[in-house]
Formats: sequence, C-alpha cells, structure tokens
Amino acid sequence: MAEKLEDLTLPNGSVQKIIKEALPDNTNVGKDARLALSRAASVFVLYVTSQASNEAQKVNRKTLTKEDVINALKDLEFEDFIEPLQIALKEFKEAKAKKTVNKSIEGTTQNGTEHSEGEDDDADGNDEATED
Amino acid sequence: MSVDSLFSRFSLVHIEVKHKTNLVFPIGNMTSAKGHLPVSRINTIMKSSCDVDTVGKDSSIMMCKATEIFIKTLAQEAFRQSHANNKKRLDYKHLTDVVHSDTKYNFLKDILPKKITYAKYKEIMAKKNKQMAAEQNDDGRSSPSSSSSCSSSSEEDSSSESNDAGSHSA
Repeated sequence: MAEKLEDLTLPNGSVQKIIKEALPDNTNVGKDARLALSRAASVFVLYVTSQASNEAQKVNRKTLTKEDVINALKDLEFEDFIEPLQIALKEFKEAKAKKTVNKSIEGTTQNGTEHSEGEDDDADGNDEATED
Repeated sequence: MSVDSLFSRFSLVHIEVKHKTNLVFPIGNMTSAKGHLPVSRINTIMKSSCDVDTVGKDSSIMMCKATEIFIKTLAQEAFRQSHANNKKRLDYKHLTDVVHSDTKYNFLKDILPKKITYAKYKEIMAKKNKQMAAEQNDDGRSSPSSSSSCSSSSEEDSSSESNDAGSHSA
C-alpha cells in the first residue's frame, strides 16, 4: 500500500490549483506556504479519519461510511464544511445516475442514441467495447 | 486611445473582482462537482491509519471534497490576515498565525510551528535544560540545599550552566 513517503502526500499541482481557485487572481503564494498547506491537508485527512473510525468502532462497524465522516467533521468543529459537501456529493451522485441511465438506454436501444451526451462518450465507448 | 480605454476598463474590472473577494466568502464555488485531488491518494492516506480496516467508497470521495474545502478555507483565512497588511501574498507566517489563533486548528500546531529566531531557540533550549536538570534533581531526592542552588541558577542566566554542573556533582 503506502510504501513510499510520497504516497502519503498530496500532489503539488492539484494543491496549487486549489489554492489558486480560492484566492484572487493576482496573489503570490510562497513555496513554503504551499508545502505547509499540502502537509496540513494530509494531516487533516488522518485527523478526520481517526475521529470517524472512533465513531464507527462505537457501534462495532469496521467500514467507514460517509455518515461517519460527517459526524467526525461535526465533532471537530468543521460544521461549515458539511453543507457544501452534501451538495457536492449530491451533484456527484446525480452525474453518476445520469451516466448509468444513459448506459442502460444505450444498452436497450443498441446504438440508437449514441450521441445523447457529449461528455460521457469516452466511458460509454469503453463499456460498449467490453460488452462486445 | 483605444488601448487606453481598454486599459481603464480592465482596471475597473480588476477593482471590482478584488472588491468582491474582499466582501464575500465564496463558499458557493466550493461545490463544483469536479474535484482536483486524486481519490486514490486520499484513500491511501486514510488506509494508512492503523485503526481503520476498510474505507467506504462514498467516504473517500467525501473526504476528498472535504480536504479540498479545508485547503481553500485555510488559504482564505490566512490570506485575509495578509490582506490586513495590504499584501497580495500568502506566506507561511500568515498560515501559522491562523493556525495558532483558532482552536479548531489545534491539531496543526505541531505540523505548522511558528518560525522563531535562533536567539529565541537558544533561550527556549536553555529553559528546557534547566527544567530537565531540576527534574533529575527531584528524581534523585535532592537535598534542600541543591534545590536552592537551582532556584539561584534561574535568577542568574549567564552562569546557569556552571550552576547546573555544580548541582549535578552534588
């Protein structure tokens, strides 16, 4: 699993992108500040995970669920995160449902409505290839 | 002339944008469906915790988003600190200021320590050494005379080392 130390850090480019999104356009971000934020994020993941696993162990569950994560965030004074999180998860699920619906439609009509969604062309194309 | 007008328009827009970010905390655009962080990496980090057996797929996706929001929140809070100094720059110092002033970031205190000067470091180490020496004296059931020598050493900083050495031998 986590063999190297780099496996436990977040990729620099993505962190940079996120910071740039959060701040006004013409802001300089120091190298040490970016590294610090990246490390802080890694620790944040572990921090929330351990709290969530505590929650799960209380009811003798071994798998972390999203409710555990939400409860952990609540306990750790990060309540502000929950609302945007749930919206994001809902969006994600909707996108996923759309994908599966599209797939099933394509499966029933058999290449009748191939170009209904431009975005999902790649994934669907792969699935079709495997089905054939 | 046209270039001039273009420039002025640009600067106007610029000011508007700056104003907006100053006033509104843009939590709305945090909910964009597309994530930047790799879910697999987050999953690896979560699994590296020893008291976790299995991680649900939903929870790692959720954690991924939560981490993104966390980075944005911390960056914005730190940036507001730097903005108070009229700077357009985010530095390590601003981050530590936020982390050390808010209780919910207590878990980051060790990961993002405040930068100190070498003189201060020396001071702290001297204090620590003194404390260690005092504890050692307590463990060895020191006589009241040695404890008094310790208290005198705290008063005289310059000769503290020699005093400590003396208490050790005694």
